[in-house]
Amino acid sequence: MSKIHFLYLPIVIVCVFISSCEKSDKEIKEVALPLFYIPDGFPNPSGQLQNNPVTTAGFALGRKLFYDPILSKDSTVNCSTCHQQFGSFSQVDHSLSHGVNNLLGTRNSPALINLAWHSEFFWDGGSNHIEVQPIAPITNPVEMHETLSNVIYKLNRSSTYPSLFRSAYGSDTITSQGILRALAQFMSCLISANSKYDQVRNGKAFFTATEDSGYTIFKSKCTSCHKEPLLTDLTYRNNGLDAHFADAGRARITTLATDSGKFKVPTLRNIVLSYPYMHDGRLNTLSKVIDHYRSTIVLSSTIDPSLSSGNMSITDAEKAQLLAFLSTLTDQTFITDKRFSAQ
Amino acid sequence: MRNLFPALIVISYILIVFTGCNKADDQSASGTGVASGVAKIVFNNVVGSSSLNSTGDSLYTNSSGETFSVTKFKYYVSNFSLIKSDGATLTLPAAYYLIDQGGNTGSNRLISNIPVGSYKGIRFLIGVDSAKTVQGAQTGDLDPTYGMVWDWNTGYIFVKLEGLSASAGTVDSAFAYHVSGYRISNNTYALHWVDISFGTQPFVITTTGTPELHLKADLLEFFKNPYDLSISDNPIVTSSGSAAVSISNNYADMFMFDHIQN
Repeated sequence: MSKIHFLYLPIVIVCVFISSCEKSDKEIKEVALPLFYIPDGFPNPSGQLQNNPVTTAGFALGRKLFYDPILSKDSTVNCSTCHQQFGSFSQVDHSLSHGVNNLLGTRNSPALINLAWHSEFFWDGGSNHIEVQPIAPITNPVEMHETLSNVIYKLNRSSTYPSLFRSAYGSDTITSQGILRALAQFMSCLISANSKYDQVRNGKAFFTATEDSGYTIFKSKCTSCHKEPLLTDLTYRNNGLDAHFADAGRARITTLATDSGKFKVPTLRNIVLSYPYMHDGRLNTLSKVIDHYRSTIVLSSTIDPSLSSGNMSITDAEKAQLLAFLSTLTDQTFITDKRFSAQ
Repeated sequence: MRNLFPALIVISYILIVFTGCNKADDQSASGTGVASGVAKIVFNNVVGSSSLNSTGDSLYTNSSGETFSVTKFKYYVSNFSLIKSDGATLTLPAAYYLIDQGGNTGSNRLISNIPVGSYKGIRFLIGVDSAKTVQGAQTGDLDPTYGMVWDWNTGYIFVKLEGLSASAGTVDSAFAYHVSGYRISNNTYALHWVDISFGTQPFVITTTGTPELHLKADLLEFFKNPYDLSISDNPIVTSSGSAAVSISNNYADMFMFDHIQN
């Protein structure tokens, strides 16, 4: 752990410099957040940036790759096809997403939020590192359907990428590691921590009475899985959608029957924006999600212990309060931050 | 101040990265202050008594009596140690070799900085250890462009065997075995250590010359002992699990001592 703190030391130093400027330069204050930082009250990150510290040039290269369809076989699909900033880097209104040739995937595109606090990726946690995660969408036949070797070939032929690699890594040589680490840097910097919920936690805003009631219900019924402040505990659970599992979920990775039908608990940050919901996008509104927890929970052998007594007791009034609270999780700063947008 | 901001980050990180590297180098240096030499390790793929032809042009028969040809046979070997003549173990600097006879990465490697002396055996891992597997994007033989990685369930394919067999019963009669599994807790663990003795022939490292250690990998062992792998019953195994573990138990003893050229 001490190693992790050491890595962030330069960021702290930079923060100190910026703080000292605040009084004399308001403009700087508004753009002052460093690319990578640990928001107030957040736990330590997973540490997967340990060998890949964020730099301005590495982040910029990652951002260019993220928005460049050159990663796909026919140059029609980029990362933001399924991870749109206005949807908190998920794909709004798509239960499943299209890849090249309009082929459909099998799971709902997850929002990319605070990924530096995750050490496993995908709904089933099959990817064990933020650097290797992009290999899957790049090579999957129903997503980008490209090979890493061919991506390297195309980037080498481009007039801009070799110099961007030199800026990021000190060499024109384009490697798979350079591509993957740049994407990891960009994704790690997609930090959302300025919702009204965060401002309330930090004493900078106040909930309305309805939101506050919703927060109280949330803390009593939801935080055992949607743990604060990430609003996920990063575990895999069966939340009672089905009796039989068309998608084995976590069991696909562990091969353990006891993991059948379990999926990673998603963060609820920006949850209003990232509809539809569930691993297969079957529920298109938060109202339906709450209705699921209060009326349609299916008990099965792998049901999460917290749901084993079946439907939760949530009145209509409480549901309205919960919805009001969930809307305070929207972070406008995050979805409008120009540093995260295509340049 | 704004212009300094990115520069500060970069400079600070460079300092840190360099500090980190120095420490790593210290740990991996072997035989500091001791005279050292270079050796070559060579892997020869065989099928029983004949050399393996992995271009699909030769027919072989496995222990289930099935005829097959081979179009791909590649594997990772890593974490080498040499056994000194007094029985002590010398751990070599961490290395991961993708052995691909006739392919991009070839079938032999030079190992440098081996302390001068006489050695009687070698120990290595078939596959890539879990510690390395969870460290993100790699280079060298572990570069994912070699197609020996799983992206949907992160991990290196330890051993890949592909070919054709009328017994396969698949489209194009193709069979494919991609064996992996590094997570102990999930009963999918397919990593195996190999210990090979050189018998009476010492492997002698000197400051001059490049002695060669030749090992062989017998593909027939892939199909038997203890698990009878039948191509018709199991033509495709490309995920971790019990079938992959069974196959790994078979190939765990496919490596054998061949000869030494001192």
